Amino acid sequence: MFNRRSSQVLLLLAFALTVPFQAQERRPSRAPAPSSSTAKDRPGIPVTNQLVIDRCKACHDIDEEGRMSRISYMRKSPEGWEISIKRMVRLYEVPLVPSEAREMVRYLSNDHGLTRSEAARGLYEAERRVHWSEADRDQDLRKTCGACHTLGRVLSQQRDGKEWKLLKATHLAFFPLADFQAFRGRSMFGRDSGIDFENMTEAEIEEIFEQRRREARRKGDRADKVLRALAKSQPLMSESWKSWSVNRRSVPLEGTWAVKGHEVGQGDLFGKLVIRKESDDAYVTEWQLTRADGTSLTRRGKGLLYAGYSWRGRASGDGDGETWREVLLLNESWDGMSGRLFWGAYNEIGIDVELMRLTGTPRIFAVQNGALPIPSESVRITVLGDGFPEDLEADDFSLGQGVTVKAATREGPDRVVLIVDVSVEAKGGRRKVSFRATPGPDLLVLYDTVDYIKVEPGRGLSRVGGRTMPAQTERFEAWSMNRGPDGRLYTEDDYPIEVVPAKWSLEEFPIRENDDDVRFVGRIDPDTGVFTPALDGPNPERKYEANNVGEVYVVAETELEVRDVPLTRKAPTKPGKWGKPPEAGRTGRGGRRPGAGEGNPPPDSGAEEGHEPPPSPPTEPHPAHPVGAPPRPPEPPRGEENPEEKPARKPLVAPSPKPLVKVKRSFRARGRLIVTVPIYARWDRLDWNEDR
Amino acid sequence: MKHIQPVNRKAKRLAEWVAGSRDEVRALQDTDTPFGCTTVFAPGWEVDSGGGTHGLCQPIERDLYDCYHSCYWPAQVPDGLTNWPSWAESCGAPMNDWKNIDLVFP
Repeated sequence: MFNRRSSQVLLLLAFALTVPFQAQERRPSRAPAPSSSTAKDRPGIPVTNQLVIDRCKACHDIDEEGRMSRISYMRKSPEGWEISIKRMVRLYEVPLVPSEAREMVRYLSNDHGLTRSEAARGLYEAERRVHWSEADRDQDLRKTCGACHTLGRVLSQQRDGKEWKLLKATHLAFFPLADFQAFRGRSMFGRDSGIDFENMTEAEIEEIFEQRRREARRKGDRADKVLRALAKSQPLMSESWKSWSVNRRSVPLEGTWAVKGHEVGQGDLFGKLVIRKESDDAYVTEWQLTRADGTSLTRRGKGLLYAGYSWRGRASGDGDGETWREVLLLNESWDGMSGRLFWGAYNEIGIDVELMRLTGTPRIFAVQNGALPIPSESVRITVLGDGFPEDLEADDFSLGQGVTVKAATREGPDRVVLIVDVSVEAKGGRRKVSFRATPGPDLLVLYDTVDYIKVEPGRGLSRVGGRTMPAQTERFEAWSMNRGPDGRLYTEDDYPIEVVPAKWSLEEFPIRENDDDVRFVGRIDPDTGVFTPALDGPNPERKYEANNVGEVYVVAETELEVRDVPLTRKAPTKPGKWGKPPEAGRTGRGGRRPGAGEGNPPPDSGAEEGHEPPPSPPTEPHPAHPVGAPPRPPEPPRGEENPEEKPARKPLVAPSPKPLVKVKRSFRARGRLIVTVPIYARWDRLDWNEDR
Repeated sequence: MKHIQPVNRKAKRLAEWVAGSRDEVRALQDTDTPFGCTTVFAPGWEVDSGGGTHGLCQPIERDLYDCYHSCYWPAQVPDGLTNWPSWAESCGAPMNDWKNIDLVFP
């Protein structure tokens, strides 16, 4: 009996030992793995590229239908595939030369890539933008995935249900701390657990713990919930993928494209891009752009179109101009692209661009000098577009009510100069530019006056650097703003007019006693608004030898000659509580215009009363105050208004406009800037087609 | 505190300054920090839970190897467990040798 049993154990052991060896032997051989019925039921995308099969089969099983484990059940952006391949090389020593890696990225991004709508969802990740917001995304998704990286990285993937689960398993294996940092959600056992530790016995607490453990095993944690949702919202076999797969073809990009763009701190750019085909989906490019100040940019480079819609390119100047990277997305009708051209140590400098393919069909694309004061006479604007015929006349253009086109001069098939009048009755706001039977987009902006200025970006980000770490700079620009149709300042309907020149400076953002960040964080160029952070590393001059990080205000000051248009405030329709106008304080935003004829406040006046838009969200407004009246004594700061004063501020009735009176006014606005620490792992440094 | 009123000009200005700065801080914390910052943890890597920098571990070099060894910020700092086991070899004490700290490009 004993002998029989021991021989059975030995047999089992021998079998157990041989299984791994058999498996290892099987992997390098190209014999397909026996596919189970479940594998057959699991739809996947067969791998058809021999290089991918050869390099990946050592670890990734392949079945008789050509589906490889994991690879066939996910789709990703070019950046996503590049990160995966780099990780395989780093951790599993996959032998790859750069040209092979590029071929693999190209194949996977095309055949296991994203459709247009899927790529558009997380495009800001590929565009390496510094300013964007994920605030409106699902909060569970933000807390689970956004704790470590951008959601754009998650949004640039499609997987089937099992593959999404494996993503969590991979994270737990690589980064075990992620389990309690991000995956479990609200602590089940800690201070946030809602358990009354002080008034319960140990046994009672243990019982609750056990109950919660059981519940967690049954329901899964927050990450499981998020992954279930992702499996539905970002499945492997989406409808758009099925449609794209059957309609797939090579998309021709060759030709000339009109380009318009905006670079923060540098203004608008216009020009052309010439694309020439080199081989399948590979193109040679030449950019010719002109800035608002007349300087021109020439860049030549190459690019690839992945999966029919996603352009990734790189172009460099002839001289000392920076090399930029290009991330563009083709539109559904193949006649337009939009995206970002970027450079800088953290890709923080960029041009937002829109492109339109020039085909000879009449179209309106852009307008230069499109900000028109009300009223104005004989203003010259340049309309850029395509297919303007030689026999065009001024009447062919329509710029909306109150705007008259007096003359039109064709300077080429893609360029017409218009001379326009704007009547005093014209309404402010954005206007469409139309040509004959061709409707155009909102390209003009009409305004009666400048009500205030605004700093963009409102919250800047910079990283210390320059010694061992690269520095992340930040650029600011000042936009003139109009109060919009509601007549109130700092409301949703206020609209931007144009970028105005300003003087720039930094101010302390007081957040603690004796806050002195402004001494350390860096400096801003007073003329260009470019912020350069201070050096990285511990600073012995600061408390705790802190880095040169901190928060400061960025202040823009300017003087503009604008039309004198008094602000009005609508009379209340019914008396509010206590007989006062309803919410008199809060509706008084149409009160005094910031900076209205008062000049800058004395340096010691504390808060810049009446000279800046309040931080977002807008706080208490300034009281109504007619322009031209003697300045009122300084008001209490926001939120400190004395309610007894409110009845004294009578609602204003719209006075007759003074259309032609122009006055000089000083404007002042503040934005915030966070100067923070460097990042030591640079995931954003992808070198797709680096040597191209 | 609400029963104490400033009586002279200097006290009024002080009260205004305190009230104003408190409002600003509150506004900052109420808003959502954009731009790729990790705000979920307190403190986060780029910004603290209030959206600023005052709650960050400072200087970052003191805390760097804690993050490295424990993989606490694997997206911002090389992780010592899986991907970059030898990252710290070139720099024994980051507060002194921080100039030897290197970047990694995953």
